[in-house]
Amino acid sequence: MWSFFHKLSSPKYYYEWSGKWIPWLGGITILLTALGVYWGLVIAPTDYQQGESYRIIFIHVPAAWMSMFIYMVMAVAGFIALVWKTKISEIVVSECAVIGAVFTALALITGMLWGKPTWGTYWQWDARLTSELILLFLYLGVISIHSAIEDPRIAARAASVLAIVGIINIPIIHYSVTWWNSLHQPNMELVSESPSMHPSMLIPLLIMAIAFKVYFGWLLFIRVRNEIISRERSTNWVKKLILAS
Amino acid sequence: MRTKRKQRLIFIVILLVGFSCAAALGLYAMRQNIMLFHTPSEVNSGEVATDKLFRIGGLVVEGSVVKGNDGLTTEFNLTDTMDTVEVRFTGLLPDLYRERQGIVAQGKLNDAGVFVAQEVLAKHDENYMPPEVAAALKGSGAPHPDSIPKSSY
Amino acid sequence: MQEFFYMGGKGFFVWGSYGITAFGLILSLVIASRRKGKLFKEIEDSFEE
Repeated sequence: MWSFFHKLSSPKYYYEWSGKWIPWLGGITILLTALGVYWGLVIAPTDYQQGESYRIIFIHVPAAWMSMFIYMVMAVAGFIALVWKTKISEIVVSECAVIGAVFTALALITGMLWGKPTWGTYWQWDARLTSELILLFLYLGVISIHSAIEDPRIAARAASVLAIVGIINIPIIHYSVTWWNSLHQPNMELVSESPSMHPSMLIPLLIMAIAFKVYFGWLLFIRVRNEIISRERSTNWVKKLILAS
Repeated sequence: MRTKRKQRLIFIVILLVGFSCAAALGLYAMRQNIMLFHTPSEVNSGEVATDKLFRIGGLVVEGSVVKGNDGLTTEFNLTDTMDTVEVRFTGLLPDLYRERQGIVAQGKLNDAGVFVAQEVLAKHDENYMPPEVAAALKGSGAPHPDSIPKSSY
Repeated sequence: MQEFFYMGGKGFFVWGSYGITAFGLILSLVIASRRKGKLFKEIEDSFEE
């Protein structure tokens, strides 16, 4: 186990190892997304209260989960980057920031498009909405550190500190609807005797959640591999790889 | 080498603890501002500065909705199951507005103690189910999700 | 079929959400795979110099 992680910290090994995963992740993403979208838009019944607009949940909630999940991955990578100073973890921090920002923006936009027909407003300075917006700014902060500091290794150190400190926002987002009065509905109880969601709607939601997770792995691997090639361009193994292609 | 790594670890932990404390204190100090709305109980007990615009949230009391002659003004009572405030609103209500629905209204109290709203937003709950299931729940005598007062009201 | 696209009058919001999400996720993939092509070409060209 430990030796596997040790091996993964070598750019060459990581490049070869992640390359094997990419076609699988891509295939699973496409299959699950097609299934989840069809189930969510066609098979799943209309909601008793919100009618058809609730169907936005099948992308909004998975995207919002991803926005927090990717942040935690980024913070863990930042922690490893600060303590063990491995190149791969530094790259993972910068690539997670881009993908996380995309998912956070999507969660915010789909949430606004859901808010208008249900609440009656696109935006409200509600604790949940505001803390999710702060999450977007944290991602943008990590991205801008990387573009502002030329030396990628120094940039990675500053970005990792921001990533780790910003993790405080994650429990705030999650509990915002419990701690404060908010317009946003409370968290769903998915694991309980009477779940908040009928199984006919819960299944497509979970399919989409898994599809987004696999998509994240797929895109992350592609982006990390690109960055490895870019940074290791003067090494022999990259030269060989490119001559062979 | 090992002690250097350890130092970095300790540095990160101290950093994180420090920022958590700062964030917790900051949020605690601002908790009134983070509350999006106040409950009817808070308003009636005078905990809310009523000379300014503020938001009030609760459930629309069943049977209390009265439409005005102009077709645009609606009057209803808003409750948090403990206390009630009368609300008046002129304008278009959101689709989800109905009796027993959770709503958030922004406005001001007038001299008669009526909350004159400028904006009414519907606050839906976290329950999702097909209409048949909702109807079956209602018929079986189990509490309808609409009617369960949420702790946040 | 028309009813399906109408989405009970909420078509703009439902299709808008799905459309923007599809756009964002596909664009991210296209950008990443384009960068790979560019990088490979750039490094290959540097061999000739």
